[in-house]
Parts: sequence; structure tokens; C-alpha cells
Amino acid sequence: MDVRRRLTRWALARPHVLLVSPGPRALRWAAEAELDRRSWPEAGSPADADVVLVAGEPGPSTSAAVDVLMSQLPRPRVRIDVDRADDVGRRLDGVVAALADVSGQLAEPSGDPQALLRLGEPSEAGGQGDHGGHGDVSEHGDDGGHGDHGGHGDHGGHGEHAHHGGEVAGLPMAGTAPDRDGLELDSLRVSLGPVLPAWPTGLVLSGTMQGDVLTGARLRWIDGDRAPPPSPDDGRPDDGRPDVVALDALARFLRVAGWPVAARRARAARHALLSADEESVRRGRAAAARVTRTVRRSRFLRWSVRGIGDTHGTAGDGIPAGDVLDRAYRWCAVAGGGLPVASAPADLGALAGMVEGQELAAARLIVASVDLDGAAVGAEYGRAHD
Amino acid sequence: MLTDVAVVTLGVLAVAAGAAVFVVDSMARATFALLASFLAAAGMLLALDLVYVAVVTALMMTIEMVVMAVFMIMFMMNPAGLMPMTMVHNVRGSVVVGAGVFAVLTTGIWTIDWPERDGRRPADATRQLGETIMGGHMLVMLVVGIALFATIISGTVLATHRGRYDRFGPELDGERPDDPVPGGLPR
Amino acid sequence: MTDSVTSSAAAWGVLPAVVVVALVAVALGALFVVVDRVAVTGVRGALGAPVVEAGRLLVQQRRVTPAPDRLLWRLASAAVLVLAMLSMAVVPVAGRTLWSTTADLVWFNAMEALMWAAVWLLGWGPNAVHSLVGGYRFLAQGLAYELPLMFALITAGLGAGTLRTTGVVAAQRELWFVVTMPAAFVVFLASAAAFAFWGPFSAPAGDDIAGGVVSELSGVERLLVEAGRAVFLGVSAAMAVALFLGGGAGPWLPDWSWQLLKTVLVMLVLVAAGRRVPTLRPDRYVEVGWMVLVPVTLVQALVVALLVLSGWYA
Repeated sequence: MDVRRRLTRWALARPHVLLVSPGPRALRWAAEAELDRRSWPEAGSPADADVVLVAGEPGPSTSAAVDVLMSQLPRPRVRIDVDRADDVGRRLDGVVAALADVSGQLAEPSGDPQALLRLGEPSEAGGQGDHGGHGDVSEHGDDGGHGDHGGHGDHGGHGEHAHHGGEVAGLPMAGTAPDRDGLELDSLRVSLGPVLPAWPTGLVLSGTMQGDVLTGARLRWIDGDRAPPPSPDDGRPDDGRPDVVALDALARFLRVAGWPVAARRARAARHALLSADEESVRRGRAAAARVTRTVRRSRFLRWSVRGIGDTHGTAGDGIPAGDVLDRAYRWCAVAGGGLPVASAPADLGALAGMVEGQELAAARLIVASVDLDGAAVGAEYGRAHD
Repeated sequence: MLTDVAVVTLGVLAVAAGAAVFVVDSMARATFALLASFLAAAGMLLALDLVYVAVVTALMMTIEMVVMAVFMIMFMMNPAGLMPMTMVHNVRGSVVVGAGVFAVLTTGIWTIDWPERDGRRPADATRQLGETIMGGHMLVMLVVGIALFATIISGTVLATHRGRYDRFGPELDGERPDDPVPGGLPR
Repeated sequence: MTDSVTSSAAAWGVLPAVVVVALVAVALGALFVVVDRVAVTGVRGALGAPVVEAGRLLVQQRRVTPAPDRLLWRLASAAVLVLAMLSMAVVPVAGRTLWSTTADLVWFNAMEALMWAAVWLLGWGPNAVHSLVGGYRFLAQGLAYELPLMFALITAGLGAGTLRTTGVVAAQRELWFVVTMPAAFVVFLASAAAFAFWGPFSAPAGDDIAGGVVSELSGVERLLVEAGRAVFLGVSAAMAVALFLGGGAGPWLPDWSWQLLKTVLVMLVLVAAGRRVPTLRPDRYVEVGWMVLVPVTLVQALVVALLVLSGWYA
């Protein structure tokens, strides 16, 4: 048994972590810094994860979403909750042992997701294999049925489109509708979020997908109008630092744009800037300058994302003018100290308007190009930099 | 002996997979049952040492089936074939046609006076095959190929919903095409 | 050359040859993972990464989604690795290929085409949106690079006057094909990356769709798919060496070490170039594939054909 246990610990020495960060972003930064320091990869989906790391106090809907998310992880799985930045390292230290301890879970039969679905019980019914957003428990209410599962474990919200397609295996089917290109493609109700890689925790994008074109897009925070307020004692002074915020936004954007190496460099610069040590802050500045230069100079990035999410010259609703690339360059400028962060938080309605009729990849880039975490703190800090 | 066993086994497999196309109730499964049937046929050719023909069959049929999957299923957002659907239309007619063709082919195969091999097997059967097919008929082959290709292109052009007038304006003087999603070339 | 010389199955016996070639394929895959890991997260922990990651996935439970197409999904995840291994059958190891036919290059291409089907099924099987979008991205991308890849492979065969890999290697005794076929070489490597949806062609498994075709995979199935991708990239690097860089040719050192050296070098170049750029979004890339790469590879084939006629390669 001992050999088995040691083997298990060895195999799980580098677990993949799914980060859920309902808390202040300083806490998420601390968590990401710790993960990067250990070279523990951030998981892209529940299936990829061994650990769910909840950074901060989740609101009621997020909390329910995390429960669903947990049920979607393959065993062995562990959930840890962190609410203090200096606690992250210690909690992560215990993860490998915890995973090895629960590796006995494997023996337990995994519930048949279809059976779970039929239960119709909110915390389980969403179950595994969602369509789009992972573990979205939201949308309480207005469509009856078990409509409180906005978009997971099924082809979109239950009961929201019972009028077409019928049901198979307890899942509503997609029906056809005319689309952007003049074809009759199946349309499918989907919800993206509240937990996705490089996506603000708690944000849900719901809409209809035909092929990968999103229509009827609606954006909302599942726990209220805006992201949860920063907790009073945690990392507040850092939360509003424009260069750090910009590097954070840039790292997310680069991850969505599919440039993990540059994203990691941006995160590393951010970690260094947040350090208390004068020397590493200096190195962080240099690193930030280097990574922003790489991003600005990349002809491939320009070619790949140019023209997406163009505001056609008008800035407003907290969305800086230009396309996603202009906004990424703006983050670069802010990171270099040239500009203040956006003065007002991005307006979700305006953002939803920009996402409307875009392809999934473009929609993700557009959302990643504005700072939505800032929506929480922007009102308090952003204006101070005006 | 081994060849005989392989050919018979793969033959049965090919027929079974072909029959499965009409039994399964999902488009994806039907497509891939058909692919399995083609791959079994390619395997038979391989067992008969006709490597080039076998591999080209596998290659072309795979691409064909995948393209078919695109066109059949792309327009449906129900993954995993959840919506059961029958793959059979006009059952009686297709049974008659299928049985008829099968009878004709089998009769043909058994009644034709196949030539006996005289001479040795060539070292490079692929090259020989190419010379036999293309050697004396290169011009014909090329013309047929280009004609087929032109037909495909003109068919696409006729079927396409948006022509150049939609993209470049009625005077064709637009600087950039007006596409819902711009492509990657600077124009 | 006859079959008995070029095929390692004939020279060493079927079983030992299969085992050796399979081990080499896995080793190449592991090597690629290490090189790639160094590029993405640095040297720390990179060396053991393939083994530790495999161990982690073996310990992990297989997880299912509601109402999947179980049969096709499982089949697809196994197929990725199997196809990568099968394409290794025509790559020379120590001067011999496991299986030598008169159509080696077409065999390699056929395995890639089957990979196409397998990856699409991988996206289709789990019955989930991100996964399906990933599968379709792969197809769209595939349609655009299948033809350039075919032309690139055929160009090497054209120059050598044979579709046998060992024949192609032998034909480069005087001059490596990369000199007269630079475009084919680059297209071949790019297509290899695209078939393994890696680096700049990783849109089918992108973070913007939560991992796309691999988003719902866990446990042994994820291991099979990830291993398949890595092995395919490693095998493609070895194939590129055989087709364009003279195989094991080189002074002083024995053939196999030259081949290994060149393969590692190709991997380094591939990783260095591939990790330097962001994902090339398919809707941009596809147009380039059709409008630029197809004509370029056609012209490349034409140039080589003219050189063949002029007796350049004789």
C-alpha cells in the first residue's frame, strides 16, 4: 500500500488547477503567482483539472456553480478555498497529499451523468459535460421547469426552447433558424461561464449559437450587477495599480489569443512588480517593457486579431476605441506607465452589443480586451487616476 | 492461405459495416460506418499486395467521408447524434436497386474469363500501374481532370449565395471585399 | 534496393522490429514534449514532464459527459495515438523502415487523413459545445492545409522518382532536397504542427474554447490523445529529416546519430518558431492556405518536375 501511495503522490506531484476567483484580484494574482512558481498548469476545463482553487468568498450563485464544477472533475479531486494571499502557498502544499489521500475515491462508482440530470436537483443535475460554460448555475426562474441551469449539462437552458427540437436523453435538441449567412442552421442555446480560462469569474454570456456564430448575446454577473466588491483587508493597495492591472488584462488577452508563452511572461512581470523587494520590482519593470514590446511588434498577432471588435472610432461605455488589438496595445501602454487605466468600468450591455453576431473566438477576444474585473474596482480606483 | 483468410474476413467486415450504415440512427455513425466499410475494402486490396491502390482508397475515402460529415452535420448543432434519424429513404426502391446491382456484379465476377498471369510480378507495381493507366492516355486524363475540376468550380460559383457584386459593390470598385468575416490576405 | 534490405521487419523479424519502432516513436514523442515544455515553462521539471504527466493521467478517473456517442468518442481517442504510431511505420529508423512499400509517402498521408476523421470525432463524441467547435475548427483548418501537404509530400517523391521513403533518402546522397524544395519543407513542418493542432495551429484546442477537442477528456483517454499528438509531432520531425534533410547522411558519426541529431534540431526549430507566435486564427489562416500555399506548393512541384526533366537529380 505504501508503494502505491508513494507512486500516486509522485504521479500527482504536478496537479492541474482550475482557478475560480470570485474574490479581489490581488488574491487571484497571488494564486497565479504561486501556481506559476510551481509550474503547475492552469486547467482549461473541469476534465483537465485535479484541483479547484477558489480564491475568495463566492457569492451564492458562484458557490452553487463551484459545487457543480466539482462534480465535473475526474477523481481524484480536491477543492481548496483560500481567502488570504499569504495562505495560498501553504494550502497548495497540502494539495498533493490530499489528492493521494482521496485517490481511493477511484473505487467509488461515478454517478451516471444522465441519471444525475434526470434528478433535476440543482446542485447535481447540471452535472458533467456542459455545453459551453462550466458549471453555470444561474438564471433562476422565469421559464419554469428546471430552468435554473443556464447552460451546462445540456444543450442550453432547459425549458428555454422547448418549442423546437424536442428532447432526447433528457436534453433539449437544437432546432433550425435562419442565420447570418442566409443558411438554415441549427441554433443552440448556450451559456459561457461563469468559470472559463482567462474569463472573469462570475460573468455569464448567454446566447444562441449557429455554427460558431453567437446571436442574442446577453452578459451578466451571476452574483449581482457587478463583480463582488474587494474584501477590505486583502491586497487593496495593489488592486488599482494601473501597470499591474494592465499586465493582468494583457496576460488574459494573450491567453485567449492563444499565445501562452507571452501570457506567462506578462504574468511573470506582474508577479515581480507586486513584490515588496525593490530589486524584483525593477526587474519586473524591465520584463514588462520586454513583453509589451514583443506584443506590439508581433506581426502575427496583428494579422490574427486585427479588425475584431471594432468600435468604429467611438469610445464609450468604458470600452476604449478601436479594435481588440488597439485595446491590447492600450494595455501595453498602461503597463509601461504611459496611460491611466480606463476611467469607467465597461458596460456589459455595450459589450454584449459588440459580441452580437460574432464568432465564438472573436467574442472571447472582445470580452478579453476590456477589463471587466475592473468593473468592481473601477468605480473606486479607476477614477482616481483620471 | 493467410491472404485468403484476410480477404474473406475483411470482405465480411466491409459488407457488415456497409449494412450498418442503414441500421444505425445517427448521421455520424452512418458516415463512419461507411468509412469503416471503405477501410475494410482498402485492407482487402492491401492483403492482395496492391499497396498504392489500397492506400489511395483509404486516403480518398477518409477525406471524402470527413467532408461529407462536415456538410451533413455541420448544419446541425446536436452533437453525438442525439437526435435519432433514419438513414434510409425510399426503402423499396433502394432495396431493388441494391439487390439488382449486387446480382449483376456477382454474376459478372464469376462468369468473366479472367486472364491468367503470364510473366513475373513487377518490382514496383505502383509505377507500372501509373504507366498502364496514364501512359497512353495522358492527354485524355489531363483533359478529363481539368474538365471535372472546372465543373466543380462552376458548380460552386453558381451555387454560391454571395457573388463578387455583393462583395465589391455594383461597380466592382470596392477596395476591400465586404465579408462578414475578413480573411487573412491584405486586400 | 529490394524489400528485404529496406524493411526492418524483414531484417530483424516482425516482432522485434515493431517493438523497436514503437519505442522509438514514443521516445520521439517524449522528446518533443520535453522540448516544448522547456519553451513554454522553462527548464524546471521539463525533463520528467512526459512521465509524470502520463502517471497523473493513469491515476485519474475516466469521466463521461451526458449522452455522449461513447463508441465513436472512445474509438477516436485511441485512434489518435494508433495513427501516429502507424505513420511511424514508414519513417526510417537506422536506415530501414518498419514497412517498406512502393507507396510509403501516400501511406503517411493516409494516416494524416485518418487523423482528420479521428480528431473531428473527438470533438463530436462528448456532446459538448466547446468540444464540437474545436472539432469543426480542425476540419476547416484541415481543408486548407491538406492539399499543400499533399503537394509537399509528392514533391519529395517526384524529386526522388519513388514513393519509397528509403528511396527518397537514397536520392539525396548528392544534395539534400531542402535545397531545391524549401517551400515543400516549410509547408510539411507547418502541416505537421497543424495535424497535431499544436503551436500556431492550436485553435482546435485553444484556451478560448476551454481546450476544444480535448476539453472533455480525462484519464487514460486524455493520455492517449496527448501522447498521440506528441508522437505525431516527433514522427513528423523524423520524417522531415528523411524527406528533406538527407536522412542519416553526414560525416564521421554513424547514420543513426546523424538522424537523431537532425531530428532534435528540427524539433528545436519547430518549437522555437511555433512558440514565438500566437495562434493563427483559422478564419485568417484558411484564406492564406488556399490563396497562397496551394499555388506556392504547386509552383514548387513544377520547379522540381522541370529539374527532374533536366536531369538535375540524376
